[in-house]
Amino acid sequence: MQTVPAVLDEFAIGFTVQRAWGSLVVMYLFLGGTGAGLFLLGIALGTAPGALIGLLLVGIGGLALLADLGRPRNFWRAFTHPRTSWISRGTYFITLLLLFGVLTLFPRLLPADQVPWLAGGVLDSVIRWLALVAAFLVMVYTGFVLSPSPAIPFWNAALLPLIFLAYSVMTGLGILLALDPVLGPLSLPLQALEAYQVALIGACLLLVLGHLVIMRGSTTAARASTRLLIRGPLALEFVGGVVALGLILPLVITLGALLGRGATFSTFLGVAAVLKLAGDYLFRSVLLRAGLYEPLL
Amino acid sequence: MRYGMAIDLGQCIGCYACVIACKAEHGTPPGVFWAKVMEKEVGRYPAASRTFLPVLCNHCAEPLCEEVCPSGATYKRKDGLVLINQEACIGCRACMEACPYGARTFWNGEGTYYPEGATPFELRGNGFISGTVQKCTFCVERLDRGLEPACVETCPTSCRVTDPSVSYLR
Ligand code: SF4
Repeated sequence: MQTVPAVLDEFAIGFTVQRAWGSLVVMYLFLGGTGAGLFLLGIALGTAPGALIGLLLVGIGGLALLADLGRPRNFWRAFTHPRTSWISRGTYFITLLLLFGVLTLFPRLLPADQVPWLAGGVLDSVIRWLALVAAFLVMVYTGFVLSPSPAIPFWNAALLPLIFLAYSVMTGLGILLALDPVLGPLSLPLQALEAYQVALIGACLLLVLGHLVIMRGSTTAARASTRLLIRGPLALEFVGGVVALGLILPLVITLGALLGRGATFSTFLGVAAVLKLAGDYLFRSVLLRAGLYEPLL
Repeated sequence: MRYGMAIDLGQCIGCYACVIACKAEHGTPPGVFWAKVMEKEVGRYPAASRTFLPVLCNHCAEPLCEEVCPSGATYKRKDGLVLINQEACIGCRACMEACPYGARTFWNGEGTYYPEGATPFELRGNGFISGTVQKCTFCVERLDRGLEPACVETCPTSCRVTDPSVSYLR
């Protein structure tokens, strides 16, 4: 027997949770951000295989986004309105990142006689800079996609693009640190990178908590969203998952690695990277699920 | 000229005639409502009462749904109507996130009104493309014929007005 979908939310009064964007969008936000961060740092720190993994993640994320569309075959139309729409701008950013990202990796991964331009040449540095700028834009623009409308006040926040940027760079660096024994030497000493990582985790923690504090002083729906995260049904995932396991524990581990260097720490950094990745995914997921519309009645 | 509608909330008796008139006029798919009436209990017995809030697309002067739409499917006409070109819609649902009034619904092509399957009326499709977002059109096709929107015509308390001679619509 077929059932009629009852869209009860349609007539609901009080707070309603947004249901327009679900797990595929979370997947994209996570893969796109982390992938772009990994690509950017991979290129900056001289590890082409690391950058390649980042690019693959962005590609998979892009497919998730495509699969989420109601009419995926119409997707090319998303290129037509970059003047006002952040989704349209983002479509350009992802495309440019994938295009120039692949071109950046050619001379770094293929034998020199198979690529008509050299790594470090003028053409290469133009391509590389375009790819790096696109990677940066992919990390931040999703924050603007969520924030343009006051309809969902918890997203309507200037901090969001910054949080996404901090998370993307942090998880990207986390993966590079964990894969360091496999990927080979990075162009900066490990100790310095671990110090950066500690700073990045601290920044994420401050930004996420700062966002909650600002939202608590904001409109009724924004306050209700923070309650969902702190005391409501999402509290276990947010407080336990995003904050404790996803940020504080990796912070302690990375600080430990920084202060007491030893061979055992690469395993711990691996654990920290996995925790951060899970925390990043969970953060983007609870952020979407805590998106409450300002009530009409 | 810019179309507009005023609703006298004090006159609304919550009869849902507008909701049904809209459904009958457009044959919208199951689960898709362009006109809605929200209802809330206020006060305590014996002084309790119900208040009603008819909701439809407000055809905003500066529509955020149009701004965020990446495909240009959502557009605003010179006469003020905000419409969706279903052919161009990619179904990204950004407009639903942007609309503060919950006026938009995504239709994925599923569901029928009766458990036995789609009626001939539903099978006709009524011009709806699955995978797109739907919303009130201000009965643009009725306006073109010189008629008022179906919800306005049907409202038994006449609390909806589009007549431009009404002072507060000018
Ligand atoms: S769902 Fe359709 S109308 Fe809405 S923003 Fe996306 S493309 Fe535009």
